[in-house]
Amino acid sequence: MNNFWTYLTQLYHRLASPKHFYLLSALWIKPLIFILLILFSVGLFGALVLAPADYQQGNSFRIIYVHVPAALLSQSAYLFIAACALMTLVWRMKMAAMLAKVAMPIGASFALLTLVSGAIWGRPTWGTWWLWGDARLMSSLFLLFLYLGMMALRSAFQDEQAGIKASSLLALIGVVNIPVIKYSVYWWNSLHQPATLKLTEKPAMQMEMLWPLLIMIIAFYLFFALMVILQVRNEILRNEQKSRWVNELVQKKTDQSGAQENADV
Amino acid sequence: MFDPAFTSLSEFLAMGSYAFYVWLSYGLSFLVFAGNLILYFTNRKKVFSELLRAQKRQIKQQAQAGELNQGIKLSQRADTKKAGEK
Repeated sequence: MNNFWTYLTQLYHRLASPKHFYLLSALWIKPLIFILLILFSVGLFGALVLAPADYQQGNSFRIIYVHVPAALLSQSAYLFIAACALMTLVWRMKMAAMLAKVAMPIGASFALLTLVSGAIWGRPTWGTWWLWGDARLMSSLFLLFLYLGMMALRSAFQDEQAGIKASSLLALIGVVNIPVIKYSVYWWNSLHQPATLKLTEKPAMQMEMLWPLLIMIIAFYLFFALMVILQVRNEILRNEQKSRWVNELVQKKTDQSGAQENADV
Repeated sequence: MFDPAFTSLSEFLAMGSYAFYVWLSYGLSFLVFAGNLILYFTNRKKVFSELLRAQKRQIKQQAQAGELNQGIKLSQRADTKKAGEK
């Protein structure tokens, strides 16, 4: 146990260094893609083909398999960014600032997907695409605005450090919105149905409908992890372009592509 | 275990008259995934071309500095030669 703990702290410290993060994360990409391909094929097949139609909503309920994972992910991604923001402000960790930066557009894309897929589901179910003033819908829209606000602040200052500070502050303040989204269906009257999944209770869904949802949720989260890792590797190269290891890496890559061109000829 | 909810392909595509809503939401989800991947690849290309350009610039500067050094050496040699002639 003690060994495991020291291993974890060592890993944490190594991953805080951009160079080590770049070299270590290279090993995770292929396994992640492999797992993602399996999860998405099984999850989509279960969602679209195997799950029985809902007795009330018919086949329109299948939208749940993209709507709920997107909604959960957009909120978790926000919490991830807020945690990075805290590490940036308190410990001035370079890696944390980079991770937050690349996670923002990805999280925003899923916040948008949540709203759009929700509207598409709402049309046949509630008879309306959108309802201004509905607490769940408004707080979810606000989440998208928070993402856009953080991204705008990040690039609004000439001094990059000022942008990082401002967007980190907004990320921390905006955390308040997350419980508001979660409890909006209980605190106010909302068209939206209450949570499908609860950690503390047995789900109301039958097993045939539930397992594809769980697989899709894991798949969405792992896709987020893959995209953050890939994008942060770009960001590391851009940030560390003056350092020697990046120069050597670029040199190696050009040598390789040069060799390939020669081989083609 | 294997018990499909549909008996034919056309039934599957029709989604019990909800085809428009179901396929639209899945199609847009696909776009979000594809868009994220495309963003990554364009970004990767941009970063590498940026880095290559910076490296070429550096090599050029070094070469120029080298030429300059050589020029100074040559002129120095000429100077010493002149001094010897005198």
